[in-house]
Amino acid sequence: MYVVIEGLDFSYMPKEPVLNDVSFSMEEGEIVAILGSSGSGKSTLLRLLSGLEIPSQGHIEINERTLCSATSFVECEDRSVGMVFQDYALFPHMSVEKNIAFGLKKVHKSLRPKRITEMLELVNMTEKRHSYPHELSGGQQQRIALARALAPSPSILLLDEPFSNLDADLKLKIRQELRAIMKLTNMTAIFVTHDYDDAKDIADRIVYLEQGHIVHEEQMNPERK
Amino acid sequence: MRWRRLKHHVNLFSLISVITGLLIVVPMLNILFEIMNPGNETWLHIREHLLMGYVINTLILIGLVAVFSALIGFLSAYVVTRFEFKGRALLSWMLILPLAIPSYIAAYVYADMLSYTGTFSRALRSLHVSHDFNIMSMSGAVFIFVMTLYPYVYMMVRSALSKQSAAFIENARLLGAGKFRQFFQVVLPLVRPALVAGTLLVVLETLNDYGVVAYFNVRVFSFAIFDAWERLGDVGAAIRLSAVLMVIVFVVIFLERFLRGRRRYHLHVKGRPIQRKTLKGINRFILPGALWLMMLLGFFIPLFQLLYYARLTYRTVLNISFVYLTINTLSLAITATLIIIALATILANFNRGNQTAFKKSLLKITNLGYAIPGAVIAIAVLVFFIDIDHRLYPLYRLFNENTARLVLTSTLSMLVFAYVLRFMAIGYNAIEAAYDKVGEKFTEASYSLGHSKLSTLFRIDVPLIKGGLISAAIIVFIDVIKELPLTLILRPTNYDTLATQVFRYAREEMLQETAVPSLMIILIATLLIYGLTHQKKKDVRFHVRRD
Amino acid sequence: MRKSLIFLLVFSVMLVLAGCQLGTSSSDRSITVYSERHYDTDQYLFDLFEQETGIEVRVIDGNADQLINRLDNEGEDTEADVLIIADAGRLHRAKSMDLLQPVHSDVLFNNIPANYRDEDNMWFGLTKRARVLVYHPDRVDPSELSTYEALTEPQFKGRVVTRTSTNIYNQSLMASLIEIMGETEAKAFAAGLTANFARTPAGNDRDQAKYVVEGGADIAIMNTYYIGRMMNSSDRFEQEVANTVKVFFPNQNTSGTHVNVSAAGVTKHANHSEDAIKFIEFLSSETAQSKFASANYEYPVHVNVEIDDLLASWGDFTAQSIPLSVLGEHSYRAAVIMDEVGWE
Repeated sequence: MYVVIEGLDFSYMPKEPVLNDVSFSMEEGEIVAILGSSGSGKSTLLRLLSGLEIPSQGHIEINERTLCSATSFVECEDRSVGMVFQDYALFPHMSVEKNIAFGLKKVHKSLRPKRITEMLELVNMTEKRHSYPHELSGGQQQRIALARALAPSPSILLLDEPFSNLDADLKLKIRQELRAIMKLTNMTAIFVTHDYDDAKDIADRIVYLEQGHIVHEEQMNPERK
Repeated sequence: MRWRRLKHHVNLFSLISVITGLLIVVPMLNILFEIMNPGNETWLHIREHLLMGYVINTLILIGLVAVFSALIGFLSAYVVTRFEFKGRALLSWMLILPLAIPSYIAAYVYADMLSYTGTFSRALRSLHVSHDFNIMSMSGAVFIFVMTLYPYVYMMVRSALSKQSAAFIENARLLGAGKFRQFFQVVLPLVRPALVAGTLLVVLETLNDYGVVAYFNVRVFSFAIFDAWERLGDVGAAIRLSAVLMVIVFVVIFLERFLRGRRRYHLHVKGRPIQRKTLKGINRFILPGALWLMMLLGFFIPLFQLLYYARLTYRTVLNISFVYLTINTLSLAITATLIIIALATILANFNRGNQTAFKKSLLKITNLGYAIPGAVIAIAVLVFFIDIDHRLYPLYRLFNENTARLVLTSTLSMLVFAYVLRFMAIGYNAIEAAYDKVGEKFTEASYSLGHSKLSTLFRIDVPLIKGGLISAAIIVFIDVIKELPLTLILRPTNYDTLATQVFRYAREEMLQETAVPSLMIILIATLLIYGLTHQKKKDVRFHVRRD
Repeated sequence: MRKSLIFLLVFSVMLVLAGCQLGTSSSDRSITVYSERHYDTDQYLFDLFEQETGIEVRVIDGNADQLINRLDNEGEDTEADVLIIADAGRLHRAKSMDLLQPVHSDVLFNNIPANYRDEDNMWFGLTKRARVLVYHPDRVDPSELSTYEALTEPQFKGRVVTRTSTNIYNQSLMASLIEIMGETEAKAFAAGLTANFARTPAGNDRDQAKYVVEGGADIAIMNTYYIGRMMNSSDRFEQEVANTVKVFFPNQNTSGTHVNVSAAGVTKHANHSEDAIKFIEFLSSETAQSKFASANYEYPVHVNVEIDDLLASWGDFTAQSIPLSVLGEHSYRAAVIMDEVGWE
């Protein structure tokens, strides 16, 4: 198994658990949707995976690397986890190019422009290389956020409500694109959503989260792979 | 599991934050221990004959100053944000200018103008009118404090009002609320936090002041602290009085929290700002006229009076040592400001995210200094530094056999430390507000892209809150150059600043001679306020467009 | 952006360094003086001393209590060699806190009369100030005036003005009266005087004179040297006020006019006590004393030094003959009494 999550507990306040004994695992290249209403703890699960929060108990392992256990904890910046935020969080003081380059710390300077070009081609945004985030539409911003998260080749991609800021027409189109990009790069991805249609269109599997518990899992049509 | 958590929390930021907190709280503990001692004869004397008067006078003073500065600050902000009239843009920033004039300087100037030989009294006498307004009184002190401190309320309310969306008002209208109800049930409650925060600042500044109340003989607590120390020669009683003062401050702060309760006003609602209404009829003259009158009282009258005095005395006062004085003041203020802003940024950074009880209490401690009068901080810091020097003495000996024992105590570091203690809250709150506006997502995005906390601080946080940092720096800088009691007590030998020079002349009853150094302080502060209000607003949008 | 930041940083570091340089120029021999006095004349005399002896004088000024408190806190590590304070009472306080050391200098003994120095030679008076009655000649006939105590009589109801009880000059005046007439009498005086005040005390000494000229009161209790300074004010209206009022020395036929001194002492833990003594001797010398007197409208303590013309024009007077250390001994009781009778 590529991703193993076992017995994850988390609470902000004592005695008000947000997540309670969450366990599941994923294969490499699999896309999983975490589906739940607001307050179900789905965003918190992403924050635990990315290392922005520390679980009170549990074990997280990705690609045979233990990120969190009873005795160890890898900080967010050392996890190599890509994340697309709900409202994208593109750095407003940097151009598109700089935003993508920001994650390429470990890539040699001379190789960065090429990688940026690759990423922009992947999301079909080459002409916006020198634009600033506020000059882009919501859909464009989302693609740049995706490119930025993918650029450092993370071991897993986490997406937090990726469609919540898009209107309905755009949403349909981008869903398809997103799945295509993910499959093209063979990226393992988890995204959280409250919309069953989103989950059904993109994910290979849907995990239902309710009040901090996994209540159900649903495998999508396998032939789509 | 526990130590893993701990390890996660131990980093450069948390370490610096905790050390800062400790450095601030240790000197204060020294003071608190003093309170444990049983009261002596002096304390009994104060309690029997004076304490009641101090409490009543203090409550009257802060009560009146709070009411009037809240009223004036709110109304001027309301007029400036809701109505359009000639000179509005100019007034909108100039109304902050009275902050450039330290209260004690305004007090000296007004007392002199209204004294028998003063400009104002002479002008009236030439018209065969006499006045009996005695400025050296409680009402005079209220006037001085309100006129020099209302900008705190004005600034905060103005910014709250200009952010308030038209949606609230329109909603209220749709719901059929009349103008009166719109104002009291929608406009006022929404700016209430800003109004209260601004007023609280004014009250704390008033409680800290010593210059005005000493000169006017208004017997409030800061006066009492110095009086117990100086006339009765009892530092213990002085410290005890400051403890009582601290209790009053905490009650005031608690009352504010209690009244606010669990309501939240910070709803992030986007939308069009409210259209300003053009003033018509008689109001066209009355409202702007009232604002200009305030500018006149709070800024231009003292300014022109000082300019006149400067003309009388510049020959004797302006010399090479005045240049040194100015350089001293600037270099000291720059050093203190840079340190305060750096520490405040780190603290604000540390305090983002989940609020644990530990973080909350650390924050309260580091912000405590603003509520404590300068004189008390000065004693605390002095005792603390002497203690440190004693402990470090063996270390000094390693470098120099014949070293003096009091190394740090005789340098500027003691004074700078005291400034940090006193003004941390101001820097911190401005920076925290900037962080609040930006939110945490950019920082988290940076972590997720593999950047460390330090790299994120410099590459993401600092550029995004740059405006807030500059504002914080300017406000702290102005406060430092105006500061008097700390500077007076803790500066090294042969070291003078503009403020101590003003005080020195004033104590010698040479008011005319205070003009040149006073004007220098006012000039620097005015330029900075201009810079603050005319900061280039780069259109950096922190929120995405939704389409 | 980055460039301007670096520039700012370099610039501020330079400024800071410059500031430090300006703050502490160094010389081989130096003494540190904690002084409550900070007149331009004092600085002139310090410079003169520096020129004559090559000993640099470093000054830290502040008010008396802050300086004493600082000295106390610093203990044996203090840098201060000399303490100068404009009130004998406060010097007594420093003495009783064990912050001063005795000095045996024949120069000082010769220059300074015995009642203006400490009986244990801990401090030495340098200049005198007299606390007098200042009146408006149109409304007060000098024959009405006699003593401080007489001001409590009914004919002065609502005619007397002076500054607050928190002021050291009034506190010392009360202390001297406690010594002369005893505590009960002194308290009666304070109560009677407070009852005759024309207004609740406020403002500084100059304000009292202005109030008399304005017509709010007829008689002010104030220090002579403020009249001198007002006559020399940069503001010509203040000069007018000073020229209008007249000075009266009270208690000439009884206990004498209240006098206080600015005095200096060598600190207990002085590192340069020899130079410190030299410095005080210099200040008591005839050259320095005439400077004190002429420029600051104070009376010299040195008997041979001529007083300033202006001071001379007010005539000779008899001062209280009590040793000034009693001002310190009674200062606490003086404060308590004034609080008790409601003198604000």
